[in-house]
Amino acid sequence: VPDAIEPRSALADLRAHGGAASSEAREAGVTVREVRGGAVLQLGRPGPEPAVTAAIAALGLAALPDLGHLSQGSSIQLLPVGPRQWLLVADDPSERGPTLGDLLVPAFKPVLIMSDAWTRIRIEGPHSRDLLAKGAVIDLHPKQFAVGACAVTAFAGMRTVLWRGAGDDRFEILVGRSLAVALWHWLVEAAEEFGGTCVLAGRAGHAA
Amino acid sequence: MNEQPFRNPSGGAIDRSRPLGFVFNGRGYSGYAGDTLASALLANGVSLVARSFKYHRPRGLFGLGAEEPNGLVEVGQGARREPNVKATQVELYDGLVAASQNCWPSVNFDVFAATGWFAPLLPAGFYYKTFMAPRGRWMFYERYIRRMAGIGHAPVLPDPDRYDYRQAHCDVLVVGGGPAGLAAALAAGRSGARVILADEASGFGGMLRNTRGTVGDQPAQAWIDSTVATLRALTETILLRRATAFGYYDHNQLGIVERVTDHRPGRAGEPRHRLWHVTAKRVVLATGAHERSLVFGNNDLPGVMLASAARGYANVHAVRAGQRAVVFTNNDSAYAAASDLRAAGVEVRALVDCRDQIGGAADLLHETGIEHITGWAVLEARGRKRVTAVTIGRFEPTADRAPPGRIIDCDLLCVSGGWNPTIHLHAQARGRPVFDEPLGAYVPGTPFQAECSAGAARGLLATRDCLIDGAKAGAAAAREAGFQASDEPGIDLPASHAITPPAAVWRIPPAIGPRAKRFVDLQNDVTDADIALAVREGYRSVEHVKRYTTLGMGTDQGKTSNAIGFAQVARALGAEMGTVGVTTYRPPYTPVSLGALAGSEGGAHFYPDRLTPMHAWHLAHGAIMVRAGAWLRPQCYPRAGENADDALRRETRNVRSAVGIADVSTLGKLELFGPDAVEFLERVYANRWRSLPVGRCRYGIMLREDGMVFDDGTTTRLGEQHFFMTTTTGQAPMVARRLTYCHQVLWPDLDLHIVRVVEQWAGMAIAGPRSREVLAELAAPLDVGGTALPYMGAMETTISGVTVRILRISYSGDLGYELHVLAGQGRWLWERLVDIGRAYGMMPYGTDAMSALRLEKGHVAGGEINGRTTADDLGLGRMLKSTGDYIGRRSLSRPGLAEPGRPQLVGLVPEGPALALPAAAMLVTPGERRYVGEITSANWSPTLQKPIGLALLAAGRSRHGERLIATAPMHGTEMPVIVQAPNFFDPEGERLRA
Repeated sequence: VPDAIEPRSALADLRAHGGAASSEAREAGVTVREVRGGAVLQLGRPGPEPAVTAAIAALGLAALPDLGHLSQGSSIQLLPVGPRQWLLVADDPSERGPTLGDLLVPAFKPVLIMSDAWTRIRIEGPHSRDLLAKGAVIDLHPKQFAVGACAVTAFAGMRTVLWRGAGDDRFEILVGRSLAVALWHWLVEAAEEFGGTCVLAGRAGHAA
Repeated sequence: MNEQPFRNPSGGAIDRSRPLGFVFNGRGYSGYAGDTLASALLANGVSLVARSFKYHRPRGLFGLGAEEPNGLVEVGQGARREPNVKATQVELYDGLVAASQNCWPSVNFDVFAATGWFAPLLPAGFYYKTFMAPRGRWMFYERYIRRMAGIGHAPVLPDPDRYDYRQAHCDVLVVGGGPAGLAAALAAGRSGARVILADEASGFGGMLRNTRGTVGDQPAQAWIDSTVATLRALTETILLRRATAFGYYDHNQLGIVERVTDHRPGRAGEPRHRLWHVTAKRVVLATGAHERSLVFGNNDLPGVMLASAARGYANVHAVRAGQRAVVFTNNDSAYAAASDLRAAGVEVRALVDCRDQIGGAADLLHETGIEHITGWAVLEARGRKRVTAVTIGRFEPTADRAPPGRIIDCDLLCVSGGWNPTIHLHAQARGRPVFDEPLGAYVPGTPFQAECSAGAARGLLATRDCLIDGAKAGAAAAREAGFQASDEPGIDLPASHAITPPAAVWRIPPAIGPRAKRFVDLQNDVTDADIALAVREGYRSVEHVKRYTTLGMGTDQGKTSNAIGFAQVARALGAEMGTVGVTTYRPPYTPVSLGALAGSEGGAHFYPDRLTPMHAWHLAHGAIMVRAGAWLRPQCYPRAGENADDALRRETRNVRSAVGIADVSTLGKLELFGPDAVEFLERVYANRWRSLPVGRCRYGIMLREDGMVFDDGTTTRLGEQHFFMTTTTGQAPMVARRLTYCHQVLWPDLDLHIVRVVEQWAGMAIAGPRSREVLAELAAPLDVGGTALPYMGAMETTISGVTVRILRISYSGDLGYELHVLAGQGRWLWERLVDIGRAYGMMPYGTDAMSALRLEKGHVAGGEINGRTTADDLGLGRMLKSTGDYIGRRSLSRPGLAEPGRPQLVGLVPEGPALALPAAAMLVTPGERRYVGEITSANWSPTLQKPIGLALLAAGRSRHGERLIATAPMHGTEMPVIVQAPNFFDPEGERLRA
């Protein structure tokens, strides 16, 4: 497959990352970066119990998570996004969905590859919660929103899936592709007061 | 000469090592870090700072903080000029520029002060009386009245500052950082609860800062500092200074505006204001109390000041608000004020107390030389632009007029009429304030939301009581939020001392002699006579008196005046004070900048734009973008020397003659899976779906429950149980919501799944006679000929390893295809098509050309699907299936929908040569000019080289060939038009099916 047909990031056309000068040496209060590649699959109603159990085990996950908390595997997370609806988010940039799709088709109906529909942004650093408090309506305090907590929630007026990743101050946001640029600009501006570093994935000059 | 003649050489909480220069009314002054604009003006001996709202009377500073009714100034210049700012709340900074408002040419000489001479003509409600006749003249007078009563000027330039917004959640929110608030925050914070403590001032401590008191063995300020340090060490506690809780809303949500950089402008990066949207489990309102005034003659003269304010200026700012003072009170608190003023070097000539018997407070006057006059009252202040003396006399509350007893020279009159607990937030939260007879004030009643009041906010005036009460309230709030907390304050309490109850003094008889104005509400220039008049004229409710007299309105919201005003109403009605009630308290407590409310949602963030995967290409190729729903779409692609009209015509002609390409990624897209998907479609669409073979598309219409057309679009059967639906861009969210609702609520038994895939797929339309050649070259060796891919055919294929869905459908009326590809590959496919298309004369076209093309073809759009038209009205009646149920079917049997005179879709052309049909025009009959319909879409047809339009015309299908008049009276245009069938281009569809 020629290079040109590599899926293009929704943020690919931003000329500048927009944040403060991003040398890794700089003590950034918050870092905002695009997580490129990886797969997102939307799963519908679970099928027969053995098929679901087998699929979950094959993904290396403990159980099918209920609303509010994700199920974390190694480089994979299963996020509940509605009644009998999940998003499977895989970190491996070379995975776009078909392999995982084949694995899941016996267990869920339907299984839809939605990797192109979402843009994933990671926000971390000591001020990540302060930054998110400017746009999120839900309480992100660790007592209320611990590692593994996840929500479908409005953020800066956009529909997002938001979860707390492993580590103290890491949050991840999925936003619809068409809104990715709007959200990025919003984050860059909001991060400024915390000495934010904003990194577009895979762009020369801005270490990812 | 001393630069700041009223500043003491030592004392106070100001930093004398940091002098600051500022300009007031064009003149330079100096102050110190730690000053407010008000204290710096007083230090410089500026006593006249404003003109009053209605009579333009000279006014001086009256209060110390949020309660200030007089000292409203404009601060800043140009785009940063802010009107109606209380000088008492402006922290001084170097280079500050401020000016008096509501005066011309200057605050010293204000020509509008002449209104004072006409005061008898301007009684309460004068607007409604004087300026109504002759009928209709109010509009004329209003301009001048509004100008005279103006309160500052809003800047006309765009706001250059940044504003920020922050969501915060906590267990306990403490509003007010005085003794009660600090104790509450400490008690709650120590329990481990998440606490937010907000105070409107630059520092914590509240009224404690203004005194020279002690807490335990420590001076007040030392205790404040150590308490704040303790709170700062609690990791779950947020301390907000310069942060006003201005509104209390449902679900225990409060708005707090934090003034981040107002006191140190010029910092880049930081916002000016930050709006905190706080959701609290429990709220402790430790909002303190405001001292109120007393009603006597000329009680608005500069030099008349609240005793607590004069005390605060002396203790905090080391400023003497005057040289020779008289203190006038009905309660104990002014004794400490008198003592502190004397200590600050003010000559306190007398303390006049309405009460006959005074307890321990009088001890403060021992050996001070201050004359103590009891049972007397100040009847009138004397002076023109400043108090020069006061007339006092025996206090006879029931007497009509009182004989003057003595005159005492002074330039400062400190008044204390008792204390009004600050119940604004409690009342905003739907608590019902009750009147406390011994205190002579309204106090919080039963809370409606999860809040409680503590300290002076519920009428406790001694520091010791406030500390104990605050700690209790904070601990209780923490416990209610699920934490273990002790009621023990853990604070070294000050000693208690007995307080003599205040006298309820609502009225002081006017002195015998010429009658001076006696103000109840200083900010709105409301006198006791105005209130008496309102009651005489029949107003009984305090809400009505408020509106008739303007008592307690404006930015002041009655902080110092409401209680006195209500008492005047009660007296005039002969009613008990407790029975007249209070007016409704509404946010904001003090003015909030609009910028703070808008936050960062201005400019580009006003509305998040949705961009298609090809957005950057459009920009790079000169597209003018237009909003379509939440999306930005190319409107047209003007070339050098072209305007938008030229571009529209070129793009349209090019589709008809060669081939064009358009971005249709914004169309709503849904995928439906499952054995019952087809049954679902049968129910939500009004036409038939079961017969649709795999690999074919069909145009469908959905109706609303009332039978009117809701939306249209095409749905493609990709598999036996798999459909791909597109909707219009504008209605996409509504359609998705409706289908989800239908499935989840109406027919949960149907076995199907609906997935919104608008973000997953990029869409592009290629249209025009040469579109097939472009497609063939792209898809080679795949056969996309008329037989393999007929009109309304669909195929899913792979091109260069990329999955592409090809639908042979057309909105333009020409041979055309829609291609859908994964969004990440949208830009690639688009550029590939443009590359291939170059040899076939391909040009991109925008929404303008799209509209022109569909109009030529007579396709309906938003103008026609307007919520009032049925499928039959639009000429789509034959699509409705005759058997089987669907949404809207039963409504179609309503008689009104079958009437012969229903509006029906027709086409229109001008009778003679014309450049344009009037858009949104009415259609009338030529003779009697009877209304028969309206134009719904009109445009120039580049193909037909004349204007064309669509219209909804009564019984239109039977009127083809008829001559009507299109008239748009609002635009003054009118022209004869000829009715015809609504398809102007290729009516037989030969191009479409080629």
